[in-house]
Amino acid sequence: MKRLSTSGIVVAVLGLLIVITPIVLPVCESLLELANGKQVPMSCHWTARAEMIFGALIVVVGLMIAFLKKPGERQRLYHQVAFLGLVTILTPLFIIPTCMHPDMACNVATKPALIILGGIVLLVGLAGSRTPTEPSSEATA
Amino acid sequence: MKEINLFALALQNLRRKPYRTIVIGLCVAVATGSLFAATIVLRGVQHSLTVGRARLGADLVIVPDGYETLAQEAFITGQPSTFYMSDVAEKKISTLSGVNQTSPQVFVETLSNASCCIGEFFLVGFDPETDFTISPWLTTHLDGKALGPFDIIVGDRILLREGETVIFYGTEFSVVGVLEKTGMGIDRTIYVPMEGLRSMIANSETLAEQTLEISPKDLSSIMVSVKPDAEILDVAELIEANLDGVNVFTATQLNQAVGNQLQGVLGITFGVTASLWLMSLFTIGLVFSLIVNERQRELGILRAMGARRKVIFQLVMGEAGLLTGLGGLGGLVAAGVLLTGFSRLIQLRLRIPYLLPNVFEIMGISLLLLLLALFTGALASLHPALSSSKMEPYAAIRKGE
Repeated sequence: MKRLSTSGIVVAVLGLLIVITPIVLPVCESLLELANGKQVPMSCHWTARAEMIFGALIVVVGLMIAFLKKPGERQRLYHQVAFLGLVTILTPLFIIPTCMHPDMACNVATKPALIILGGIVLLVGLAGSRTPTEPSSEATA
Repeated sequence: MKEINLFALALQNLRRKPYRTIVIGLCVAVATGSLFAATIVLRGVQHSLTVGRARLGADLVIVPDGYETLAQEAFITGQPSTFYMSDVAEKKISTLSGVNQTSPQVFVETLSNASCCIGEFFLVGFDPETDFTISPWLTTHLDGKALGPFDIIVGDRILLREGETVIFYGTEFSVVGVLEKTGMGIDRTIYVPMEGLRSMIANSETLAEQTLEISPKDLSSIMVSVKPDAEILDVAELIEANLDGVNVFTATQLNQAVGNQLQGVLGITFGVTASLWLMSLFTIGLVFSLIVNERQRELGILRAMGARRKVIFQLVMGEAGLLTGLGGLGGLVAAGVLLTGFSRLIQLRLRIPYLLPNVFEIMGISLLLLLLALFTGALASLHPALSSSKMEPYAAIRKGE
């Protein structure tokens, strides 16, 4: 029977939560009308898309951590987890900022949820990258 | 040889059973966190109402009959509401005994946001000559400069900032000031001098996409300040008795309206939290009784090695204290993060005013709740700790085999 890393599964679950956040707490659905009459989605639409991709990447890295046996390899992957957590936080703030109005759906629900989840991913990543995972402390699947 | 102290021993015991430690810790964390969140929301609402009432300045607010709920909602949440009555009412009210000062306001809802995204703004026309709600702020923040007809003052949650211009219904206005945050509807309101607002209404026919059908004699609300020697409720009754088609509400009624909105949610939250505390208390008590039973041999050996009754008592109590203390701290941190992140969502969903209490108050509440968590742990583990400390070493070792 293969040994699975609990912390890897935790990372994968956190990634999954990031993927479903824009579905459970949707961003603004209205469209912006440009001067030429064309209607385009608001910037938060793209923030949500980017975050879903980062979430999916976190799921993949989390599963890799869960199935990998060597602590050294896991530790390297935790660096990636920490980086992806940081990117998850920075995306709605600076990389693809959400809408300007603080009362809009993307700012009151989606953005804080993504920042909190990104923060947890970052902490888990940092904790994992500092301590080599011992096989004895892990759950058996 | 490394000396083992009580704290290290308690920590080691907790780490030995991580699943049990996490589950009990989570119980305490959820109970402490929900109590912290409910208390902070309640204090935040009270703080916001105090600041908001001071900014409102009026003792009584008069609105057309049937619109009191909409008006209260506009004051509490800044939800744009439009309703009108004749200005005759203001003239009548100003002649009544007990009335110190009156000032009219006209409410207008904008079609769209001019500078960003989307959203409707709540414009409130006020008369700088008679106003006593915004004007005191003007004297301290505009250095005595006169307010022009097209100079506007915006609430804290409006994206516009000082020096910017904005067009409403085809008329351009300049932002000359931003009000301090109150957590109430004022934060989402734009105050426009009556002259500018009337001009905007008149020009909307030619300049705007939609004409504003508001007569120059229409008013939305009348703010009333009562003479110091008069009773606010008596004056309110006098106004309702002398004028038909109006409704009077006091600043206290605004608090009641908020109280009614909060009652259900906070009642459920406090109920659930109380149940969680009780559950945690019984769970910790039960688990520690089991732990003591399970570890009779270990505790007996400790006693046989020379540990006094007091040490055994302190060890069990220390474990419970450490567990509930860490759980409580985790709950406070988690609740603090969630409350900070989702405060706007809570405010919008519950339709309540909310302004974060000051740092010292938050620290005081946190400390009290942490002590409560520690007290819960101490109370729950008192009986197991006492019974374990009374065990005879030989009997304990034999029973534990």
